[in-house]
Amino acid sequence: MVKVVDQVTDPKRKRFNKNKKKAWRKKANITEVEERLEDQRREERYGGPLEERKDSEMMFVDLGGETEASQENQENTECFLEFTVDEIPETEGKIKLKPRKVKLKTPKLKSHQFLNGLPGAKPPHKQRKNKGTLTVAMKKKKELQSKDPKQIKKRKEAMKQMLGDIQKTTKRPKSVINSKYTTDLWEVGGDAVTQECKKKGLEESFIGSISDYYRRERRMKPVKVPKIRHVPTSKLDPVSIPHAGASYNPSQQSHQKLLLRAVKQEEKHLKKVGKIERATTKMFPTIDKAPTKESWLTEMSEGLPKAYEEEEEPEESVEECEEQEDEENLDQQQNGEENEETVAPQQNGEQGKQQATSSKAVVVSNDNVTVSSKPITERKTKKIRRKEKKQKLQKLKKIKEKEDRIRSSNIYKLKTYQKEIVKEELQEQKRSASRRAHKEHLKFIPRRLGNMKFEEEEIPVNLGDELADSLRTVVPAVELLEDRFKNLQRRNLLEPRLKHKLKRKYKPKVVLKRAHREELAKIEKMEFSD
Amino acid sequence: MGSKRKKKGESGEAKRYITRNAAVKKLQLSLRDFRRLCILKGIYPREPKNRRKAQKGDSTIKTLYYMKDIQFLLHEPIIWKFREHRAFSLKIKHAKAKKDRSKVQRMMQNKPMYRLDHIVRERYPTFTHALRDLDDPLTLCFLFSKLPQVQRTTLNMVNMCRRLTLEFMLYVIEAQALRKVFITIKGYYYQVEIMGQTITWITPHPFTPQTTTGVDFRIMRVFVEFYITLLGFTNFRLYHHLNLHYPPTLPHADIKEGGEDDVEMGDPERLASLNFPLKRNHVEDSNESETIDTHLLEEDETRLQEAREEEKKKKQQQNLFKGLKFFLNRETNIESLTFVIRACKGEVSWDESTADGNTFPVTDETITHEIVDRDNPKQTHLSRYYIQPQWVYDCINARMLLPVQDYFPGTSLPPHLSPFDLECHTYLPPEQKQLIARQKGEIPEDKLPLRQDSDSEEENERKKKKKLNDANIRPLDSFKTRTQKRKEKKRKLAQKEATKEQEKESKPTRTWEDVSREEEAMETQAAQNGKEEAPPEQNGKKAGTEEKPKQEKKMGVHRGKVQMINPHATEKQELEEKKLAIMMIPRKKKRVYHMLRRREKRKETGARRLTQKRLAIDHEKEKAKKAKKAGV
Repeated sequence: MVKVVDQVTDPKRKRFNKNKKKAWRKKANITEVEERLEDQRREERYGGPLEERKDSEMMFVDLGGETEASQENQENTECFLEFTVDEIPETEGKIKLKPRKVKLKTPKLKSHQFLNGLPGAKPPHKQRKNKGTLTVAMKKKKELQSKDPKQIKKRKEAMKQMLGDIQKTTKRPKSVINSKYTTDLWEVGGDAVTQECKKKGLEESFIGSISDYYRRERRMKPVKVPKIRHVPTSKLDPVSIPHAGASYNPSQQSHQKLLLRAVKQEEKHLKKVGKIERATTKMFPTIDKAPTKESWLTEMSEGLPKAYEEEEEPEESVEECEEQEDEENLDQQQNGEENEETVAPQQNGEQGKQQATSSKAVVVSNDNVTVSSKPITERKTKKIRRKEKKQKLQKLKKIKEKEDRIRSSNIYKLKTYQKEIVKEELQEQKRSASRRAHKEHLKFIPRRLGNMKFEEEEIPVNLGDELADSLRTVVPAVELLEDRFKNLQRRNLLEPRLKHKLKRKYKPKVVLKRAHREELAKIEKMEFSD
Repeated sequence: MGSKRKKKGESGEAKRYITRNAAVKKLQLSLRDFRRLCILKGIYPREPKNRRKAQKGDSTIKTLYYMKDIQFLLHEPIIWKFREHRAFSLKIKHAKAKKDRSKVQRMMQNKPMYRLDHIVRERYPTFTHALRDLDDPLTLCFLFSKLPQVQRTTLNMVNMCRRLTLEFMLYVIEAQALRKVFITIKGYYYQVEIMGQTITWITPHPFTPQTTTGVDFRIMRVFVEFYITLLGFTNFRLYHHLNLHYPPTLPHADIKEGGEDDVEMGDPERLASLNFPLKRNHVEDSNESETIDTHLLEEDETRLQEAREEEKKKKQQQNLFKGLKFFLNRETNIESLTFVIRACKGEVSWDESTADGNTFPVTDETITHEIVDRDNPKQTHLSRYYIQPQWVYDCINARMLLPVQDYFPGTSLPPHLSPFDLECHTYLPPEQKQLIARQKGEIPEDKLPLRQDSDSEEENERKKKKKLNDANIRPLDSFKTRTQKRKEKKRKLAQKEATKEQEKESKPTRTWEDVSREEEAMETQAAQNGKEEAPPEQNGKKAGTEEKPKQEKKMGVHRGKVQMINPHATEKQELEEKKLAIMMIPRKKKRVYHMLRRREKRKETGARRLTQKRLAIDHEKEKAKKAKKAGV
């Protein structure tokens, strides 16, 4: 709530107690006294009050003519160069001057503002000389110097350099892209050293060794280049020659050929995709066709009597089962007896005639008859051992004889061996040739350079009805820039990889500008009113 | 004293490679700067022979570099510049944050800048190396010059690319170096020959918006940065080779304008039109008439002959459009056409309102060709041909002036054949056969072939006061069934035409001086030695079928007793000889022979099938036409 003021009264003077000394000192108005005192002090600074001074102090007779002291003083005062150098004569002579267009400004020092009007007061520290300021003495000296031809030349060069520097900074290209091409890069002896040597008029025959020496001393020797440096990564042409059928107005024959090629590529691709499809998604049924519990149950109970039949013949089935079991038991017993008889002769066969006497270990239990397969062996007699040895020796002898016979007859097989050798060599040659061919082939295909595989793009082709009837209406079948990018990958200059995506730490905040918002609101209103 | 035990990973494959991360650490750069440096220096990742060994047991796929390459990079002075730039950018950021404008300004004046001269010099030790590797730079620069100018940084680059590519095109025009042009669905392929090196590049179709998605522009920009420097220096050298001013200036440009900057840039718009000759220092040229290295080819007579022939054709191509004046309508691709025509010494102009740099108006009566890309243009002038732009490109590829009739507006164009396609096909469509025949000089150039496509075309022809009697002489005979009699007829006709030509020359209406002169020369040559003595160059592989009639013809020309030789008898004899030769083939090689023979047969049957198909199609077309006529 705001109060409404009816009357405006003068702010009252503040009152204070006068019964204490402290209040006198602090709160008494002493400005008048202070002013008076200040005046006095000022007068003192000017050399005392005027009434007390003598006339001779205040006035003097001007006789003309400068004193030395004053001259000195003048020399050190600053002055502005109101002229700039217009022309420097090439030979001796005076430098011509022209008036400056812009007046030079010397900013006033803030520290001096209180000293205004105080004669003889010196600045607290010496002012730095601005570029345009010179002392008179310096000016004189400069003028004298400017007549000296040596100085003229020096000055000229300095000027030139200065201008050059300025140009360099202003006209310097800002990036590699904008740089200018003013030299022949592949010129023989175009480097700085030989240029310098040529300028100095050295003999041609010396220049080579001198530049070598210079390079060696300055450690400017070229870096050792690896052998592989100039071997291209791929033997493919950078710009491959197009198929005749890719013409904008192709002959029927070539167009068909290209189409066929494209179709083949597509078929290959489809086959690949189909295989993956077959091996993954088609292997498994979809959810609606997948087996449920019920379908599983029906499938498993296929062929079994159904639920309503079960009630009629449960007893019969049990009886049948029992009968079957009985029969099986009987069979097993019979089999056991037969086994006894069959196993024995088998063992006999295995062990040989000598072991015919080996006994059988037959254990008869209450229920089953088991036969151990392990024979109980007896020691061989000496006779048997001798016989065995003899037989063995005979066998070895026979084998050796056979070998000898074969070896001696091999002499007549020389030709076949020769043939074999030749055949092998031929095969080796073939293999090495194919290996070489494979190696050569590798130079023409994209290699595996990174995590991603290079994917061949589709052959660009226009179908018969897509072909343009005139050059005006041709629409390119491929994005050329993309094609070039792929080409770089195909030639192994770049590894195929996913495109770099801009990552944002925060989601960008979308704000409607106020003006837009207002306008939008207006539009909405209009629609509403309609 | 046993030798020190070998440790794993200290020699061999493991020591030869270094992973990218390790390399970045070693060079003390950021990954971005490292990638940049590698591109600038031309150092690329390599695939090792054995990845597991190279990566010290790790078999995940990593990007590897050669260790020696990275060691080489360590010495690169540009790395210091990169570091400097990083420090600079930090300082600038700081100053900006403090709002110290004067400091920012001062620092920006002394921004650290790197130059790529030494890298260009190092990567391309000789100028020829640089020329050989110019395909990619040119293509990329042409592409970038057509990019939309969005950001300030790209704008700089785009402008520079535009400038450099224009300079290069101007050089090609001045040097008459253009050899082949091919318009594809991708873009325009150009092939030039500079100092013995063939350079091919692609330019995009005009006015096609580029909406690239799969391209990493950061990387492409680095490539372009390097290519700009390379192209700048090559341009400089190329210009000086031709005694041209660099940067290119138009003659008398500096007299008009006194300012320094103007002189440097010339008159940018007029220069960009490619339509004016450049300022050149006139130096007394040494006679460079003989550019073939004769001492190398001295022994091989035929090869020398071939080289001479090639040289002659090149000259012919360079002066293809000499004396012709072209006017381009607004819907054509003016830049490409100007470049192509001027590179063959033609004169070009266009409407004043279309673009800068036109030289003569539409009304100029001396214009010989007006290039139109519309179906029914207004044909107001009788003294010129109205043709579709494909004619120009086809002429350059064929290295001769093709008959204009096939390219009149509204007609269905003959296929634009690839000049790069040097395959030897068994089946050649009739158009191509005709072209080859024409290139060989079997059909005189300005004679019309029989191609009555539409009625409008005939009207055109009437307009043009063409002599149609020439055209109606005969259809083109197929190559295989060429008999002696036909040959003779042809020869006689040719001689007749030669005489006609000489008569024609006196007429002022058509002044294709060079062409007629060349033809004259050829005719005289034919009269002397038999016309086809020049070695066949394009389909030399089929010489077996073609040499026969040639030899006969030779004899015929010399002695004038053509009737004496019985072609059937010779054929029979040859057949028998062939049979004998087949019989004499040893058993081992017989299988190979049969295999080759089968392949050949397959090809032949294919060709036959195609010819038959073509014949059937032609027949049907004719029928339809007749029916139409009858109906009308």
